[in-house]
Amino acid sequence: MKFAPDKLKTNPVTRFFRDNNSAFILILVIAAACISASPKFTRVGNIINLTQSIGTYGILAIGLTFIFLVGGIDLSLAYQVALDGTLFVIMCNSIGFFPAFLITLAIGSALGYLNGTIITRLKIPSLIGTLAVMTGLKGLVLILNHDSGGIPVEISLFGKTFSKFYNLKLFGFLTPSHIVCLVFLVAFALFLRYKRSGVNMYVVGGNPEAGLFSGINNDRLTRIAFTIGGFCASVCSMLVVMRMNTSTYNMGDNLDIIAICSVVVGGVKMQGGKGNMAMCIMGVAIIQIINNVMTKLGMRTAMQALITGIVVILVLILDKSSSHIKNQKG
Amino acid sequence: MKERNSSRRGQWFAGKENLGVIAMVIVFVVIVVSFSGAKFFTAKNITNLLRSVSVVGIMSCAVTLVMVSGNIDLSLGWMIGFCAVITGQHSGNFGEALLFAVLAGTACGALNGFLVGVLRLNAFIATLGTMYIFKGVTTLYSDGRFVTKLDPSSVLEFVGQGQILNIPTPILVFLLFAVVFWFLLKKTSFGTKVYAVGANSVSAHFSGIRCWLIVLAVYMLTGLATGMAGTVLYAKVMSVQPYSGVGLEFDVLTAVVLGGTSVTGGKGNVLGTILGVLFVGILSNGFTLIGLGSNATYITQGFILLAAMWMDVKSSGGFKS
Amino acid sequence: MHPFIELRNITKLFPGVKALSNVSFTLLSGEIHALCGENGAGKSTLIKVMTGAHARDGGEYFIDGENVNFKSTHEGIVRGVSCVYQELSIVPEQDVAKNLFIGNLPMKGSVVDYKKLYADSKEVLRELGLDVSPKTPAGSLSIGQQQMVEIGRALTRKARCIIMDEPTSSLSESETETLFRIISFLKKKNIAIVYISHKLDEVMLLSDRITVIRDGENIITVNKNEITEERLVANMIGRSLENMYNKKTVPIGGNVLEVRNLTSKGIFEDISFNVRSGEIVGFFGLIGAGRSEIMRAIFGVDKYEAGEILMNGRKLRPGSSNAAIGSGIGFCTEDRKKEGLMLQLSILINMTIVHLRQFTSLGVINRSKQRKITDRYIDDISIKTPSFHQLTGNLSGGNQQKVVVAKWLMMNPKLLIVDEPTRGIDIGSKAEIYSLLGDLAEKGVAIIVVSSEIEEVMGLSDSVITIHEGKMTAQFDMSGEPSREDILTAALGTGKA
Repeated sequence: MKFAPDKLKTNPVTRFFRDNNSAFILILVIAAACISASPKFTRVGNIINLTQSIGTYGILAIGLTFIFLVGGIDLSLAYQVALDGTLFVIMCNSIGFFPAFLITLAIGSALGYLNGTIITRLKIPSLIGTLAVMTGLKGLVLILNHDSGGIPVEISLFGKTFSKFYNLKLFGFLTPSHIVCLVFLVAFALFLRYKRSGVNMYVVGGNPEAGLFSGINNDRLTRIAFTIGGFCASVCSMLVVMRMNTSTYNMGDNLDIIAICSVVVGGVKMQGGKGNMAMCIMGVAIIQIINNVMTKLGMRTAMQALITGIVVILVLILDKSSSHIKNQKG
Repeated sequence: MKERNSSRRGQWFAGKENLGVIAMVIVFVVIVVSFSGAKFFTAKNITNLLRSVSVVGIMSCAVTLVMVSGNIDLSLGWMIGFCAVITGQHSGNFGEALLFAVLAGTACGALNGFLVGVLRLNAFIATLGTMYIFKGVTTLYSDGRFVTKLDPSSVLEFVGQGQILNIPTPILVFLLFAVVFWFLLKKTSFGTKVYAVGANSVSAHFSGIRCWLIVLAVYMLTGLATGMAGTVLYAKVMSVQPYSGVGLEFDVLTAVVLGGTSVTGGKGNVLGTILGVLFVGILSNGFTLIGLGSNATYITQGFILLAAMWMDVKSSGGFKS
Repeated sequence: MHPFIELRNITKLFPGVKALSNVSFTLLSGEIHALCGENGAGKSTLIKVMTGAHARDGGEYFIDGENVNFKSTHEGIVRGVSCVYQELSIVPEQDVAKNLFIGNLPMKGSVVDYKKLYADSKEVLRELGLDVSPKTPAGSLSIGQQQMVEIGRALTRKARCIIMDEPTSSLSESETETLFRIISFLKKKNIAIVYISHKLDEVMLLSDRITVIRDGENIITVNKNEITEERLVANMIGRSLENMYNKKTVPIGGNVLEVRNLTSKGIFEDISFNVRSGEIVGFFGLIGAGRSEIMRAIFGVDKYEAGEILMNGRKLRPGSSNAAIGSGIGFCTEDRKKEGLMLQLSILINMTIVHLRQFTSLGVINRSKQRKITDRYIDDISIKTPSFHQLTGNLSGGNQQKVVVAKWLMMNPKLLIVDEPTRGIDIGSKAEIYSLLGDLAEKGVAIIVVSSEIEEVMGLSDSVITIHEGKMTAQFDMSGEPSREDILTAALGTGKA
């Protein structure tokens, strides 16, 4: 009987590098390029700005990572963000911040749960289930925002406007989105490693039949993953509302696509069974750093889109050539 | 021998129950709309309806092939934007406009096909990536600005706004593409190979089919159709915003999936897609007629999509990957 | 004392079929009980009733004398009934330890106890004699090792009975030996084994008792030493099988395929042989010896580094299956579900996909011609199906294999390569496939049969080539009546030592 190659039995650090190699190479190259290309990049203000947007986008990406882990996809995330955000603004203006905050979290989770339930109960691919939900939510969002307008926030929080609050700095650098994202990262990383449901999610995406034969409730875990996705979308939506001080019908546009690209760039496998919080946030960081540097270099947004697309495809190609585990399911 | 032939009809119907649902809903919507006093069955309304779905229709027919081959194309929204902008830039000369738009579309499709067919990247992510690329190229090319020309070619005007025998030309273009793609998928050996690749690409490879070539071809055909659709899109109003196609890929996906094409490949047909396209058109037209507005259409459309899929799954005993 | 498992008069109905009728089965602790029967006889249904995957429609199920009624496989697992599935249940990206304890992670309070997980996994791996780190991703193990992990998984669940369904069908010789060693280790731990296999020599070697099932009914249950292999076969198929191979003498013509010094580093080396028209050449060797890889290289789906392949005297372009098909090579692959068929498509498409050109003019298919010819082939090789519109996924294994063969027959091959043509199909269908190959040879088709069953190779072939670790070790002319031992020795590579 042949033994597994030695390189597979390495310590956690090398294993980490191996699992994330393409993302790592990229982030190093990019970081080096950034620092040498633009002195503006390394200014403290810019770094805070950058990490702030990493935080906001990161939260959505965290939710998406869970959905990818169980082998799903959620096309409705953009409109979930828009609906959560719109309802949040409406409620803030009528019943105040804290009730609105809690209810938005509940609504977000419920939307995620709805997605999960539709997929598992009707047994349809998540691509189609969430496409249907997306279409429905789009209608709702447009109605609530009166077609193309938005709803401005009319209240303030601790005597500060929302956008001031969004940029509030604890210890001079920690903004709310930093804190929320860090807390989420740590909490969900611990969940994935130490909770039974967390570990079992890898089985649902990696080999659902195995789960079925081992008493793992695939459907329940799928619902949990989508619920986490919806929950994260609601948190992200509130941060976006705070930044803009208003809701708009298209506030979620592109967020989901950026999240998908980021997570994939980080090395999370879309077909399920592979991924963690480190990969997730690394992917988000890469995409955000690239965008930040391009902005700092004065590049046009069109050029930025072009380069983002090329990066996504390059990472896919790199991943393809470096994958060490053969896809057993063909 | 007799037995075998007699079971053909039953086989044809099997797995198409969702089309039954769609047909039923179409009839239902039409009846409701007619009884509410709105003038659905007027020649003007029907032509309006068909004219409004023609762009999505042209693309959906081609995308059916992509989906049957087991792939997906999410880059369409910006691809059509690109083609429409090119049409606009050359709108003084129809031949030039069409040629450049179709060439650009085909080239975009070739890029998708190369990434998915030859490099064998995940179609979902790869076409998201190319979506960004097309977005960048289109915005660079158009400078992000609204494109229009004062003295467009009369032929182009005819393609967008003219009619033959009282039928608007965009509808005829849609019809032409529907027939061509139906024929390709159903009647040619190329079509059979598309099914084979979608059903099991390994087995197709072992049967001597060059899978990469088939995938490349279906993406290029989609690009070609998108080029044509872009020309029609521009010609309908003789102006275009570079981002005007954003979100169109989901309309196309909805129509194709409603028409019974499987997202996992190997199953689907162009006739179903046409029904799906018509359905989306009738729904939104009907809702507008009875004053519910297009936003309510989206909500209903979501429900119908779920219902249709659910019927499909019930009849086939679940999706199997 | 009660037997561990007792099934009494189990009945299971599927729409239109009675899959099991009044089957009774007992399993004693620590015994190895073989379950034999043709495909479709009801073995898998019986297993599924045992594990809890299927609910029974009639009869009683006792474990330790207690009446049970499992609603899921998990309930079965909790009561000690585990099943080792072939490809189904490894999670490739997860490490070995998590695969061992899947659905059964050791917990400390409400969190996973990693220390215990890895310590316990090490212990299980040691017991099984599997020398891999528990932190290795399971996907990087060999098939045999993955199977060990599955057996280990049953151990971690304190299984009292392990059901093994065709466990050796994709194992190499040494892996099979390891498996047998582990089975006897399990027996010593008083764990009962239900062993299902088409390979009767394994059944005779391993089992304590044998139960034969045919058409959903229990035919016999006997102690191993009370039955011979021949009587076992007779019981399985309901008649005695005279000479399955029925080898005809066929005039052999000129060279069709010539292979010269074919080499692909690390896989096979310096392979040279000829196949003549009307000749059946058998390739015998262990799984993993490189037989299939040679065939894949000839067919052009894999590349090779050196050597050349000539079809009818003309050099074949390497790495192009299209060129191979064009020159008249057909290839019935080893894995008919993954490589041979498109399960969700009809028989019609599956059979005609290789040679669509035959029905096509200017790219357009002539449907009536396509249907007529397909119908003729269905009749000719008696594929049991109501219609050519039937999806191949709904056919039995034997009929699926016939569709695969038919798909290559349609292009009138000059050379047909068949890789493990009878794996996992029942004895009745086997005989039909054999006679089909015989008929083809009679028509002047050159045939290569790759098989790991020595009887099959000896019974079918005019000449046998043995492969060991990627090298040709011998070529036997069957008219010289070489002994079984000679061929086996050559294939095991022990001849020269």
